[in-house]
Amino acid sequence: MNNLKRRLLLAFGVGLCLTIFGIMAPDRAGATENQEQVVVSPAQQAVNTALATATTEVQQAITATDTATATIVVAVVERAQAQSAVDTVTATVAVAQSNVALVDTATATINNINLAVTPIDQSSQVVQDAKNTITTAQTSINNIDTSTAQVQISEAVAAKTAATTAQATAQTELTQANIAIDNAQTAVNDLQATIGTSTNVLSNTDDAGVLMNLPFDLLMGGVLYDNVYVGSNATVTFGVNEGSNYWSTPTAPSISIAGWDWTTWSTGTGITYATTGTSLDIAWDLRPFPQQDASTQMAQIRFNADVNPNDGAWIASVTANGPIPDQARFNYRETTGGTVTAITDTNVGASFAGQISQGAAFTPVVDTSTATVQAAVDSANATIAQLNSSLTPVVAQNTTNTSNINAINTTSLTNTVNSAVSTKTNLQTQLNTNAQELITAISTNIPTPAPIITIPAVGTLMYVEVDMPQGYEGNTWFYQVITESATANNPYAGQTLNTNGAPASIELSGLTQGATYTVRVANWSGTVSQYAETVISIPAPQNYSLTTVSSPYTPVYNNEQVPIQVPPIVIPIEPLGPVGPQGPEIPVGPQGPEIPVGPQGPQGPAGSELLPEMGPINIPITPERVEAAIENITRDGNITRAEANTVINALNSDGRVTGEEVGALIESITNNDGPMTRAEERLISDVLTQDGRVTREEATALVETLSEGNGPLSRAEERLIVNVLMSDGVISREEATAVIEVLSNGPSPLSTSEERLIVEVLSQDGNISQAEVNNLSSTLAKEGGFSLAEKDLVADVLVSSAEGAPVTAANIESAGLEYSNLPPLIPVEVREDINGNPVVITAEVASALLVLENPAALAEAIAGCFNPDQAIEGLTEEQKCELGKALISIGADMSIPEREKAEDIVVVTVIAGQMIVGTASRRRRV
Amino acid sequence: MKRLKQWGMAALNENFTFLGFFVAWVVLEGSAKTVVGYVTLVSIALWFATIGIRKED
Repeated sequence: MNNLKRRLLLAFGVGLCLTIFGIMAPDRAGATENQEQVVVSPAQQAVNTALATATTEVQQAITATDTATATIVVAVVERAQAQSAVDTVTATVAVAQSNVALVDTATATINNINLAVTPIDQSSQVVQDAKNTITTAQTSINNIDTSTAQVQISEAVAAKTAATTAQATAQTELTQANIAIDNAQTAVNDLQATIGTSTNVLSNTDDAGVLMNLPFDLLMGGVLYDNVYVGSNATVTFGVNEGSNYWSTPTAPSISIAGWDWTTWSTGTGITYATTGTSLDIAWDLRPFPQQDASTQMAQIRFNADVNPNDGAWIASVTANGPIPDQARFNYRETTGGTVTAITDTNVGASFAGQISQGAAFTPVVDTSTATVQAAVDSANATIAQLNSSLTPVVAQNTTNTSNINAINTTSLTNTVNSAVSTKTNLQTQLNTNAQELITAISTNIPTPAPIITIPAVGTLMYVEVDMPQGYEGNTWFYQVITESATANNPYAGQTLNTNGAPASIELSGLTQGATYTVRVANWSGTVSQYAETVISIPAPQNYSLTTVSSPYTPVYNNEQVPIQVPPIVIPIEPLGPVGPQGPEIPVGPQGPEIPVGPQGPQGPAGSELLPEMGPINIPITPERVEAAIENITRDGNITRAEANTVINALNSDGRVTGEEVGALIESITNNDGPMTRAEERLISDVLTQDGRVTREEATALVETLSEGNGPLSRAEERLIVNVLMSDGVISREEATAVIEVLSNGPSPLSTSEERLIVEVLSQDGNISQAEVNNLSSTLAKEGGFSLAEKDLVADVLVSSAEGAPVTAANIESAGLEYSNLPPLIPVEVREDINGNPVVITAEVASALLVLENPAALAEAIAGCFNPDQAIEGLTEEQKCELGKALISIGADMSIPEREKAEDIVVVTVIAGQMIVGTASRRRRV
Repeated sequence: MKRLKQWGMAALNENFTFLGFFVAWVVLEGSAKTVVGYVTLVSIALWFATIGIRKED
């Protein structure tokens, strides 16, 4: 039972499967039940294949054209943007040209200023306005941004290239579509030929006609013709071959269907005529003269006539598809030279469709044996006509696209921008020239503001410090020294002197102490500025007292400065040549304000006109790199704040400024021509003090480098060193030691400027302590002994440290000196008496009394007196024999109370002794 | 012995001179004190050195 069930189930399943597959099999094969099998001829199959291919190609042509159209739109937009950018460049160039020309106008204005009528200086508004024209012109040149336009043009060119490529693709697709349609038409013609006589004629020709014999008579204008002439210009003529007539309707009886100047030169074109016993079909596949390729649509012109072979009457449908010119002729002429009758277009669309007939009306006979094929031919022709028509807008679009691409002219834009770049370069050059001319005109014709005289340093020599107001550079100082005092010495009387360049200070000497002088200083920069003046009262000399403390030597200043209009002494204003009997030559070459013109080329980021913005520097800072950088930034004679920061940041990139870097920096600056400018001083100072302190290494490098330069230290260098060391408010013992060590290690003896520097360093805090003196002494004595010159320096410092008070013996000893090392008349405190009174004598007396200290010293002193020709280091001729001075000075190192007391005691003693001696004999007798 | 007695007597005769030197040395200061001290010592030494050759009054 179970077996039976299993077998039944199996059989049912097999049957079910067979049933399902049986039903599904015909569906998969695409067949339908009871369908009539149709035998398709090879010609028909070729038509079907060709139509399918043509359909595909036409669709691809449409798609490619759409793509090309979109790409061209993008290119047109890009080109418009590029044009806008170029227009902007053109506008900015015009502005820059105008502004550069304004600099020339400003120069003319400056040159025309008559200072006698318009008393101005370089700070006046008219000068500032003139300078501003340079800035404005430079800004306008910088505004010429060609890079943006160049980018836009590049994008436009790229878009045009893409559009051109897309258009080429579309054109290729269009050509392929045309060829596919041609092929389909050929296949249809071949199919047509299977049901009658078909002949291909007039291939690859122009303006020709061919005789076509007919199997029946054909009526035209009441005349029967057994042949016709088929012309290549879409005409049929009767009796006369007028196939070459392309310009008008033939004169002979004729039919013109889109008569025009056609050719069969291109791919797929040709003329075919076919006949049966009751029909005449002529097909023209043409392209207009002179086209020789399939890049454009083909015109398909058809004449399909049904003929009544009994009387020659006929009725024909005529059609024309494709690019039919508007002036194409659709007409017929029944007799030679007769009336031309137009064929009415019955089609609503772009294609032409009409009908024409001759003879009596009749009913066309349908040949049943060929009806099916004929229907297929008609259907295929209709399809081809449709495909061809669908290409019409594609062809039009391609024509438009090609025109649009040709209109995208990027070459002119590129030329314009290139011209702008060249113009920008030329403008920059022109501006540099104009700006230089303007600055020269200002410097030559317009005086600078009066200089500023700062507090002069009064000492053995007087240094009148002079500087220009901010924003102006000194060129050459003209100065006068005037005194009202008839008895005062004035080596500068009646002269106007000038310096070589514009040093930080003017050295005056030979003036009389106690006298008052007026110092006037002006700046020459091609013309002389107003004078600034200051009145200086030089204190009268003060004498040391042996017993009283003298006050420090303090100059008296009158720092009130009054620019004066007219100097009382005629000032030579010749720009070149010596001025005054002892004046150095005036340096040639203007040193005017900075010309704010940057390098050519596109403007960089803000804040970086002359130098590129420096990012973090990770490479080692070598002396060579520092020198190169300094040479670069000081080339224009000016150091901007940005440049200074750049140098500082570069040197401090590793977190510290080494001595080597400092040395390289200073060497680079001092190697430049001319004295060190204030800006350079500030740069060095900023570098060394940027971390808030000056290390010993930095101080050593600073002093070492400056002192190793050419010649003695200048006042500016001295001031720089002192200012740097004082940056933290105090010069430490370590810094002072570094300075002393460096200077003492140099060539011996110390120069005047070096000594002056040491004194200034030690006295910057207002006084010189004994510890500083001792440090100076020990430092100088450390290396290579303690020379006499060094002792003299220490002595001077020691005396200065006493601030006019007597120098104590203890201090002299702790400083490693002896009395003989001090100036002879300097008061020294040799001791205190029992009451604490200081015993003060001159240094020479104190020194002389030393020979009486012990027999050896006395013997040596005696020997010195007996060897007058023997040179003793450190002793003058007078000091060599101090015995006499010592003998006459015995007791000079006693205080007055002590001396009085001693006198009293000695007197009492002598009297008492005399009394005792005088009474001795009397006492013996008693 | 006799020579020592003569020296002692001679010294006593000059006691006021020596006393003067001493007083001067005491009251003076500085270089003067130094000079007087040395002079005193030298004088005494010379006096004693020449005592034998000096003719007694």
